[in-house]
Amino acid sequence: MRRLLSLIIVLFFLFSCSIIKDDDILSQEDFDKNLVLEGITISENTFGEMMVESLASFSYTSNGRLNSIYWNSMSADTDEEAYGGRELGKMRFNLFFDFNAPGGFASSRDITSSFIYDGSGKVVSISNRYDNGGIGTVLFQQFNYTYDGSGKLIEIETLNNQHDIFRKTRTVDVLAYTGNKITSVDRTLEINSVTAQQTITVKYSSIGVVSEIKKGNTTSLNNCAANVDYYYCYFSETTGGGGFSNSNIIYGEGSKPSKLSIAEQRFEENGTTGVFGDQSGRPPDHFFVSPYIFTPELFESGRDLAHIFIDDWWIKGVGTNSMFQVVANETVTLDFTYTLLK
Amino acid sequence: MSIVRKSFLILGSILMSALCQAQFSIPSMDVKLYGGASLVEMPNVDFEGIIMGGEINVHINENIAVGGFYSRDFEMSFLGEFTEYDGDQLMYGVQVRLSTDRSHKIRPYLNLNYYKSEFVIDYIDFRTAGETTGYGAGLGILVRLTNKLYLNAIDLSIKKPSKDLFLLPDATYIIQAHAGVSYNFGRKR
Repeated sequence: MRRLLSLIIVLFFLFSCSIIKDDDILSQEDFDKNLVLEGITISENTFGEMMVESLASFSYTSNGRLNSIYWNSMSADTDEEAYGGRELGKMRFNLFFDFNAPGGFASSRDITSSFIYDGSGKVVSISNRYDNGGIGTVLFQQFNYTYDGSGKLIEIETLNNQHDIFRKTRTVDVLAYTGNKITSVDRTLEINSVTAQQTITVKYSSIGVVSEIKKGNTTSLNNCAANVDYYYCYFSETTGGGGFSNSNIIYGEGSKPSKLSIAEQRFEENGTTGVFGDQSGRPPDHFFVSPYIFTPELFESGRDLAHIFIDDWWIKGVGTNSMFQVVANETVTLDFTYTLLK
Repeated sequence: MSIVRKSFLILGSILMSALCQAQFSIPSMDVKLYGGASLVEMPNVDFEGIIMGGEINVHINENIAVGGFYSRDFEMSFLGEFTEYDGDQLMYGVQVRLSTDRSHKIRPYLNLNYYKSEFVIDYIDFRTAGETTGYGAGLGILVRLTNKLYLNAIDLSIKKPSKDLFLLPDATYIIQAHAGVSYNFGRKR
């Protein structure tokens, strides 16, 4: 009995040691400082294969500002110099967007991007011009950003092809925050004088990082009939959630994104059919993807992705023609993976 | 090794030596080994799992005992809304136990305790950790099997963390339930 008692007491004190290790993270501040987005995967994708994968490469100046973007085989046109000069003279680039053209485009299309900053260095406007060397239609896209007094991004206006009555659209995103985190986006879509409302919600995990982005239903219908030959249109969503992309952001040295790949398909309500392609019936190779929104916290002094908002459309291609058919309603969750800088 | 741990080991060695060399002077006491479940109550997420532990209680009289307890997780998980990660939990502290007298076959008791607890979540690439102290209370039932051996049929306790832990946001209570066996030593009180 004496031995048993001794054993118990010894074990008691032996195992009273702390389970916390020296390199464990003990605070939210420490966690945020070292957090790096490693990837985004679709966790509830039950049908459909990825149709398209786009790849962008980024380069940065020595002071961390965005210097250039190359998207697929596209290259910046002769206006690159003006763009670069403007950017270098201002603050670091703190908003990044998908440069797929509004309405689709051939892979060889040139892109011109113009950035306008306010006095504090925040981007207030980005204008993109998509020109395929005089072949086809030149497409335009403009993003306008509004900040509140504290510098927080509160509204994004997206204008597409305002010069073309058949292609012009307007999207207004009003961002709502809890603290410094975007928790919802109230979106208004205006297409061919038809307006739709939609709410996108963003959830965060217990440790304060994005865990889910979900797009809600639109309140009214839009159809793509007027623009089928440009394979650019919005579709209705009357039930269920939907709409997502498969995105993989790869971070290079210094935790800045060195590549961004996007693969996307379209999701529609069960039984929905329609046309999605150009006049020749060629399946689309690129689709419109609304802006990726990286709020200003993204590249601030070592801190990496704090907020991300993704919106797009999920496309289900059928064979080699331009028809699509969706087989089921589906709720989709983007699953975010993080790691820490070592 | 920290000074606190060294102090614990030294104190433990002295106590062990004293107890072992003078068994007959050991006051009436009991040792309990148990297993059970632990849940950190939080909105939307859970930190829960199986724990194993032990207690040593010195009997002041037939109805009052004071002692210490220690438990470690056997299997613990942090369950997010979409993810699950392994966790660890350590808890130890001191307690006062108020019970009915020995003449009853079934002895209900009330337990009041002060504890320290450590939590770890393993995110594979990195770990988050935190610690807190707090007060707790519990109820339990001892069933007498022999003169010295009791079955601790059930012990339910609730503990209040004294501070917020970023890895366990908005944790309100630690709820634990366990069962085990208790063995009595020394002169009866």
